[in-house]
Amino acid sequence: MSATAGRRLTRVLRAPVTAAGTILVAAYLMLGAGGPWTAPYDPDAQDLGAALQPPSPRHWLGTDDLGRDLASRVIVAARVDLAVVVLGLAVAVGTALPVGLVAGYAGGTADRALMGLSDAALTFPSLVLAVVLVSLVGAGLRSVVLALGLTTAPALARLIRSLVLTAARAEYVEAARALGAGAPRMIWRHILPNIAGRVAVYMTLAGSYAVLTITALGFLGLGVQPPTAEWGNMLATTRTYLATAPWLIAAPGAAIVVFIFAVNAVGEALRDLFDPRLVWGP
Amino acid sequence: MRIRAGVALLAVLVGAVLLLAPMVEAQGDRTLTYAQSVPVTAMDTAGPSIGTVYPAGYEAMYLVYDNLVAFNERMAIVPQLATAWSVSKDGLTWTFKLRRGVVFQDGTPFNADAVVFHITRQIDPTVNPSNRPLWDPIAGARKVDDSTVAITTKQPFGALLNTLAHASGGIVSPAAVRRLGDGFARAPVGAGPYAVERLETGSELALRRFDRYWGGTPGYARVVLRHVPDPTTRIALLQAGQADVINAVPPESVPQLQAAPDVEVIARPALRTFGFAFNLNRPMFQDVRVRQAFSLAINRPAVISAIFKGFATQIDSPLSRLTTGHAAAGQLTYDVSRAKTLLAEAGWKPGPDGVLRRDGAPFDISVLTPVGLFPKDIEVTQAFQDFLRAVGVRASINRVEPAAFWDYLRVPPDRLRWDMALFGFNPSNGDGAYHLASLFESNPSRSEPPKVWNFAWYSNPKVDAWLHQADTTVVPAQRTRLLAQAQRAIWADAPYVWLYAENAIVAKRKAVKDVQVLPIVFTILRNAKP
Amino acid sequence: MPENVALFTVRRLSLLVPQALGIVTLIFVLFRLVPGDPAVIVAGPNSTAAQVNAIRHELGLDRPLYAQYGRFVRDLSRGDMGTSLSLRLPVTTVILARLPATLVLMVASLAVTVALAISSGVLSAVRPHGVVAQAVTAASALALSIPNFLLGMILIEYLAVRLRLLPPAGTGGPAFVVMPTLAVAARLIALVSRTTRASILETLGDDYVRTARAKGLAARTVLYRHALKSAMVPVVTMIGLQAGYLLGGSVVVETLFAYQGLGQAMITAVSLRDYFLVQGITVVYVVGFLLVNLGVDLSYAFFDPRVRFT
Repeated sequence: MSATAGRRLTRVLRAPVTAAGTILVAAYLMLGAGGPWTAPYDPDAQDLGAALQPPSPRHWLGTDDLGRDLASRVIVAARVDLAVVVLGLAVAVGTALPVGLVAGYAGGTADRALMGLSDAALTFPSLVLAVVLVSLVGAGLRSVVLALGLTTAPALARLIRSLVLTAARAEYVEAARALGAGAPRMIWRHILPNIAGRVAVYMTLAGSYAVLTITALGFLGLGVQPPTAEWGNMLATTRTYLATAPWLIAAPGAAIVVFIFAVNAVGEALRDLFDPRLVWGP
Repeated sequence: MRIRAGVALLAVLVGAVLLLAPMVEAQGDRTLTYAQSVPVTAMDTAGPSIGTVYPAGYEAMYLVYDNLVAFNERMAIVPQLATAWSVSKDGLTWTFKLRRGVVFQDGTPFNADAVVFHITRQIDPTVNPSNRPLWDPIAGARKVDDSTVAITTKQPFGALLNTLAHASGGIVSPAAVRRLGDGFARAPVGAGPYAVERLETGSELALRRFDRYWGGTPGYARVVLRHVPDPTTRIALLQAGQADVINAVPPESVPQLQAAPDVEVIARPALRTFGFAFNLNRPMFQDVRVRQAFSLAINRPAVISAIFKGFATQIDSPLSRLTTGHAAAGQLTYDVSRAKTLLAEAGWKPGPDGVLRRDGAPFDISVLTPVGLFPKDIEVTQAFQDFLRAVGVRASINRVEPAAFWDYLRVPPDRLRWDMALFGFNPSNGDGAYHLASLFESNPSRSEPPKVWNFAWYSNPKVDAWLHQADTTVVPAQRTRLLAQAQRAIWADAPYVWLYAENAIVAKRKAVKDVQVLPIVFTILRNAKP
Repeated sequence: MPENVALFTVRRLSLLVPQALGIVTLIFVLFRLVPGDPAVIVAGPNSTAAQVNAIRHELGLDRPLYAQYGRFVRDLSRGDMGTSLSLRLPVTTVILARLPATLVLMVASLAVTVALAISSGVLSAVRPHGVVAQAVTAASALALSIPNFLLGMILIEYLAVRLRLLPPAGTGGPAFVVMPTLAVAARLIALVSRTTRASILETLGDDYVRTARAKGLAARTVLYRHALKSAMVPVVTMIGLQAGYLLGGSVVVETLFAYQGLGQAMITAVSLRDYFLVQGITVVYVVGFLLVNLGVDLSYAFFDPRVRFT
């Protein structure tokens, strides 16, 4: 890493918003990975006699309409939402990386065909495609992951292709090729490390956008289905309590807003680091 | 400069929108807007039953059509297009005197021919596959003179008047049916107080006042039935004055609405009773002790107070206490240890993880529930799941869209894909015999879907016989006795885990008068006045 | 220059045909090849094999794929998108009835975005560290973090239920469009405002703007006439990038506000398993996306004095 990049990294990390965002994202990931074990109570344990209790020392975020501990529900929902984001982005990378690499590295007909396809796929508003997939495949986790992956992939493939094109023109890459390095080795040793940073920036911002899509689907009743807790479906099923038990809305709502905010903060810091000219991701 | 001018123009536009808002609200003065939880898709009295039209389609039909007789708010029969009626001694022929001078909304006259046309159309199963238990007992109709009709039944039929008062008893204009064919369902013509102006299927039905209505000028120039699936939105519309009447108010929103000065909540016990039906084809449910144990595992008072905030009623029979023919059949109690004992007696012993096992197989069941079709359906199912967990039964929830729900029930027994299913039946003619026959009469064939709603595939020859006898007697005391016997036998067989009877909760603006809420969960707007 | 613009326009327009054919093909593939037999979806799980076969034949689904594809394209080009199963009306009729409401929502969202985002972006670029700039930064961070349906719920609770300023839901006069517009546009406003700020700061440092300043033009004139106009390019790009969000947002927000547009019709159609209506509305959304991007590309020519056509 060059001296300027090092200075930039220090500066980026010192920004209080970035620090807060990084800590928050880490906290969400830990809670999510910890799943049921980090939850103070069994998220499915009901106590109808203790339904709709406001936040208290015993139940930090109160209880829901069936007397379940809301904090625990929000935490297991985080697990679900984060898992869908990660799986969806994995599908996206799994699809986009080979497409982008082949198109960028091979060029020619393959490039034109693959980019034509991803351009066509790009014309689907992601939520519309998600709704279509759900209507054909059926609502549930699998459809949401698939929809997320397929809607993120085309733009990502385009990005990877253009990064590969630039990287392949770099002098040392040309030199390596002249020395007779094969395509796989070229890609693995020289091109991937070169484009990883920018792809990471894009993926982070795509992650925050993915949360919007997942929760919107959950809210429409087309995403992850209750009784599995997911932030969007929690909001949908308890909407009617807004007047009488507002914490039922506030808890998952705040969980979403804070998470997206934190991911955006991290994403913007990464962007300042790797790709200062990029204004915004997906 | 161009851009600054654009910004200014937009600011003006936004301001104008904000200022215009109250005026848009004010112009709807003589229109009654009813925000319904379910859309109106069709309004033909005959034709295939569409799960989603209920209850919206019926509520629309009660505005468009007049019937020979009608229900009042206590479900008693009152005259409408028939002014008087009598039954023959053998109980097989009913003679109706018709109101004179009545016209349909297309200007054609209402007379004996129209009634005969209507009855003939309703009883023909090829034209009208729906509501068969209501219409099958009728043999035919005959014109006596222009304003007298005789309806004959195959056997004495105690619930004939209930059938005629049912929404499918609305008298159609024969001319319109002939003219419109299949299109009649979307643009029906009756003799009721409001005529169809425009149906935007799935979103809105606009009706206009029928000026030649025999019963005097209806209260509003227009009635708009708008589909607003989301309860929060319905409440917001009512509070903002954008809707005058809303249905299916969630119990938790009642206090908020009662606190609003210009809003009135109408909550009344209703006839629809709920339960989880057992799929009786499953081996584990053959043992009545298992079924009884499931019932003992449920704490109903807790469900009623926590989930329904008290807006549901305990039941002591498959029928609601308000249904004609109801008789107490037993009490529902909550007794976890008794439930566990019964399950143990049936061979289900807890394994190391607490889950019951028999011959090594864990007690896993799938519970089917629609989401948003019945009041608090998914919540009740989740509570059920937790109550079962407490006795060692692992239930997974199979949640389906309301529109798809019926398809999971109406299949031959070998294609049932659930072990238990949440279901609520509303005897929309108010009659207990209809309710019991629809749910518990043996199905004729195991290679066909259930004849009505007996998707539990319950079969008890004694119950069949009693129900048949009850249907064919017109002596009320005898009917009541037979129905009581049937209720007790069904209760003892426990084909359902019975839960509660719902309360219909409707809210309206105080300025709207004479909105009726029938115990059959229909909101009747035909008499509403500003 | 005018010839240049004309040439660019023609070239860009001629791209529409292959693009449209590409997406029509993609929609066909999506709807026919995704697991799940449309005939079964149409017939419902109740149906017998014979009924499914009859429907398959009626819909032409038993013919070879290339024949089905030909029929699909031919019907589409005639504006025939089949029949809505739940409404028993031609899909085209349903779409035409619902399209205007969605168009109003989309146009209003773009208008509000341009008005609010550009004014706030300019204000915060003029004084990059002022109070206004900081407030705008904070507001846009919030707007980027809140899902449109949550924002919509909050708007309904405060503006409609508590303050009674606006109708809470439904379709009607302009008042009904205000809250859905804000809910859909919030993210776009935040993004465009940031973009505007960044690109104005950048162009104010550009040579030709410096030249204009050096020539003695007033700061305000420089800002409006030169910097703002060329700063519109990334703004327009951003609108193009977010067109998908805007269109997808209409699905969610229309449902939330019971706003009788295409998005709400689509969700209803999905819940009623109305296969052809879902397919038809998808076509309309994708074509809408295509047209927004066409508009974006064409507007480059208008905004950038140094526009290069490649």
